[in-house]
Amino acid sequence: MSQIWKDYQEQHKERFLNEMMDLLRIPSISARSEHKEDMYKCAEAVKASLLATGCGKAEVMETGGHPVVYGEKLLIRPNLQYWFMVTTMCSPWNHWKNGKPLRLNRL
Amino acid sequence: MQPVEPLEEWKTPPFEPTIIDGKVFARGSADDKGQFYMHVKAMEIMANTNTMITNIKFIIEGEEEVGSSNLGKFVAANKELLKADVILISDSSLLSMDTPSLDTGVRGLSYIEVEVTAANRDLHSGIYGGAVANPIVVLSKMIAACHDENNHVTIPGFYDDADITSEEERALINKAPFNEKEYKSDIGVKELWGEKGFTTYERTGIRPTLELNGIWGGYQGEGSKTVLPAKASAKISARLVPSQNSEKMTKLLLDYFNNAGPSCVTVRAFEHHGGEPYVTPITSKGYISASKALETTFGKEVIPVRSGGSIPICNTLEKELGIKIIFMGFGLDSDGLHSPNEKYNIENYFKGIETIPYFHKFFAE
Repeated sequence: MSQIWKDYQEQHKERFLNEMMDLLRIPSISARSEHKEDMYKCAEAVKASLLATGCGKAEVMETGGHPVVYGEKLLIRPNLQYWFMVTTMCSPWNHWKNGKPLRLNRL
Repeated sequence: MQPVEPLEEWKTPPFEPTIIDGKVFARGSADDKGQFYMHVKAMEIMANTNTMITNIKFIIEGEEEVGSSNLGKFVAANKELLKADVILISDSSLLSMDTPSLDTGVRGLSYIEVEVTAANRDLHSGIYGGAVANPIVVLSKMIAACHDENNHVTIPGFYDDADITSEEERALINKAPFNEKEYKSDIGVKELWGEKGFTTYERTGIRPTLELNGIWGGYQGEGSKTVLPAKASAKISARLVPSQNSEKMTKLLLDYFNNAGPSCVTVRAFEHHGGEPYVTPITSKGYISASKALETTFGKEVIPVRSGGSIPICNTLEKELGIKIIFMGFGLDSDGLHSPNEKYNIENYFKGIETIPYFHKFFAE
């Protein structure tokens, strides 16, 4: 299993890095009200990334403050293991052209 | 993410990620966009190689740096959606690339602001100086009185609910290698500072601390202006350990500062965000799986450490969802979190992506 993972990562290394750097380009500073729009822009970008990576579902959800992004990839198996991760909001997605994420084409 | 100021100290623009020497420099690179995104890419690897054996749910929030107050309500209202067996958070650091480690807890936080007012306006320092209290002097004295000569916090009740860590655990904490010289040179300090009787890891892991985050007042523009300021302010926070409670500590700090000023000034203290401390057991399936995953990709023994930082949502997550949290971070303490020139090493990013699939594998076993 480890070799398959390693090979896949090796093949896609450059893209993995570029995608992460694209996220860093949106100034989603949570403490500053002038960046409120950036928080949404960022949330939409994260949602797009989750969908492009294979999540069956990804949504930007309201919280009363800054939005959260929920995404899931569930296997259709009887013995389900659930996980979930909490991290801080990420940034923008520079892959949009004509309203479609370019990443979809690359995957 | 945190604000970027002081902007002039950034060597590259904070929102134009720049690679120098194998490191990505940008605000949010290590805290936490770079770390969160490792999970997305780890999932891609598993999904596209048909090796995904666990269900994955993501919650990516935007208020971690300002207290996650709305996420708590969101979690409470969406318990069914967020049902899970384990929670994985990557928002912490490794001791080093040679010493892989897992955080076993985060400190809590109380955050207040204190404003000291004397006159009803800024005054001419020649006409009024010496005759009216200067809020900057008063505030400075109030702040200076908060630590004694051994750097213990002097605020009455500050340590009351702090758990005393057992000698065994302290020994474990101090087992982690600590290079004092490197630690000092990395951040450019001449010597270490802290509460007497505790090591550096203990000071940031098992002890509550009080920090001044910002202080301002009076004229700060170019050149000089002779003024006796009307106001001075400071942002003050405390990092908390189990079994301290953020709300209780915030109240303690507010009461203390509201009553700490002399009668010649008016003090107004008010609260910002807070968060509870959290500790995860090293015997859980999640912890063991994470430890095995790191051991696999680093080829070294994994050391449990108590983080000095805070992730305010942890306590709420466990309370609402009834599941344990595992902290599996791949940053380094030297990444410059919250500071100018924040960076994330590309090596760490890829190591994280490599390690995460193993966590899923071991947890599903």
